[in-house]
Amino acid sequence: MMKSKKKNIWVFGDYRNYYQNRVTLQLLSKAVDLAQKIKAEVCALVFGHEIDEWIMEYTAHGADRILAIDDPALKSYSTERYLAIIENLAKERAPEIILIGATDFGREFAPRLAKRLKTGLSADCVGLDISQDGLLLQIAPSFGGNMLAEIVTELHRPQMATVRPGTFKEIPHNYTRKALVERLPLMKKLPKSRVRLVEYERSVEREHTIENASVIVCGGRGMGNKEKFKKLHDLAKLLGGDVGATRPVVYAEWADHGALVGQAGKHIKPKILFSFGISGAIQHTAGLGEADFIIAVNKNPQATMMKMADVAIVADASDVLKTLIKELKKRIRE
Amino acid sequence: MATERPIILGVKGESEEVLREALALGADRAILICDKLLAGSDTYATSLVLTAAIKKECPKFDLILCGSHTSDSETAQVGPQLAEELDLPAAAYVEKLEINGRTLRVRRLVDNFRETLEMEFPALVTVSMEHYRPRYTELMGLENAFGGNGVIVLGAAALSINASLFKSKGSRTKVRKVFLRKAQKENVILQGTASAVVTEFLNKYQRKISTAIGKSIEEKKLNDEE
Repeated sequence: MMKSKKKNIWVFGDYRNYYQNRVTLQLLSKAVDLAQKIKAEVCALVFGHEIDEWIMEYTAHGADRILAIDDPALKSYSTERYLAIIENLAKERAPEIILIGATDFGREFAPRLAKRLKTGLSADCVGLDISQDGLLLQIAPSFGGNMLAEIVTELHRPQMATVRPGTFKEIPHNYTRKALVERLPLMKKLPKSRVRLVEYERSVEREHTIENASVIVCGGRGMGNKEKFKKLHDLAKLLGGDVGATRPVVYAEWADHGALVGQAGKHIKPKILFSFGISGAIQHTAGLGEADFIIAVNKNPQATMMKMADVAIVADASDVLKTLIKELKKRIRE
Repeated sequence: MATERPIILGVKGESEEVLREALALGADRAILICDKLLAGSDTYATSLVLTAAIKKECPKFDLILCGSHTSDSETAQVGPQLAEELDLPAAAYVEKLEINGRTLRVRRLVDNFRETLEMEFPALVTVSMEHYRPRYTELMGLENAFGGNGVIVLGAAALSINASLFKSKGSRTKVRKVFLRKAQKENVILQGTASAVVTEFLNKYQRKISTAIGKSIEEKKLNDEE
């Protein structure tokens, strides 16, 4: 099969569950943008067993080329085996850029891959672009403050970044698109995985749907206390949405870890985001993706979250919440 | 199990307090790696430095435990990169671990899959903060923290890391610019009593909200009630 003479942008095909697959599609969309700027080819990697569904989907969502390895030995996800396979392929084909979804799997896998390829990696990028000197601009939250950093990998290749689900928008599928599908044999000396998968099952615990909710009510320390914070659930219920929380609030156990929105938690992209008593530290705002419409309530009009909002309500968060719930109960008609 | 009790490693200035706490909680040794040369290291370089320290100070380790992420940049990359540098089997985001002879069995929830994994020592795991809590400090622990050897501080030279080596083998990424995230919103500001702002808000944006929630919201005038 013809190898590409063009530069290559690789997108790791992470497909094990719905969100993993969506982030792959979102990365493909971003890769298409980047590829236009550096005249590169977008190449999706798909490893597994019986993977035609993903090959078709990644083609429809913008891949120019697919590197596919379909083998029963790859039936379940394996960090060590994928590392060996990509190391091999990368040495042979020298990709310019590799993008990986910051799913739980990706967040463990990508750092190891970067180390193995002796290159740099930025975690949880909120933006990706091409710099004037042709490098991948990796825009990532940084320094534990309210900052974003523009990071580049100047001297080493590939340039690597992970991106949280929900950060970019996927392009609509087009099933008439064609991609060059290279079906590759499994490498001969595939290492035995030292980590043995003893058991695995899809979790029966409730899947947090906050990443996909169209209305989210987030609360921070400005709610005052745990009791007042809990009122956010009443508003969320009225609006058919979910409750999100900032890190201090989760640490204080006003909310479950599953509700954490931000860099270390969930990335959300609701149509409507209510933000009660949140100052807007980057650890939180990094998780806000592209919320369409933000309403922030805070006593402090100077808070970052208030400046980010479409509507900034200068008042006590808990008071406004109570009144809003009362009013909505009267006004909402099913 | 290892004959020696755990040692703990830290890399930055503010870590000393954490290391003392670790001594108080039962660690035998605490090592702080601190050197101007290492300032601004990315995770690639940090894992390289930790590897040098581990090879020098405790080459016969069985298990390396890492927090799943730091509290500053939260990249969660150092643990996995350390595993790679030391060529170890590893698992991230571990919720529960059991040791049976030289076999480590871990449970974790990743991407909504509940997994049980096994690996042989030596191994590395990263542990997420919501599943293990520090125990209380005992009096003996406090003596250990402030007496004894205390926190051992190592510079780069002690780890045979020099500037030229670090230049070629250190950080891969470079921060070009740091900036505040800008707002690009209309930013309407509402002020007043809770009931006034809520009424104003609902009247102005009722359509937007009803579209998003799929229910209709009645309009009311400010003076309608109360």
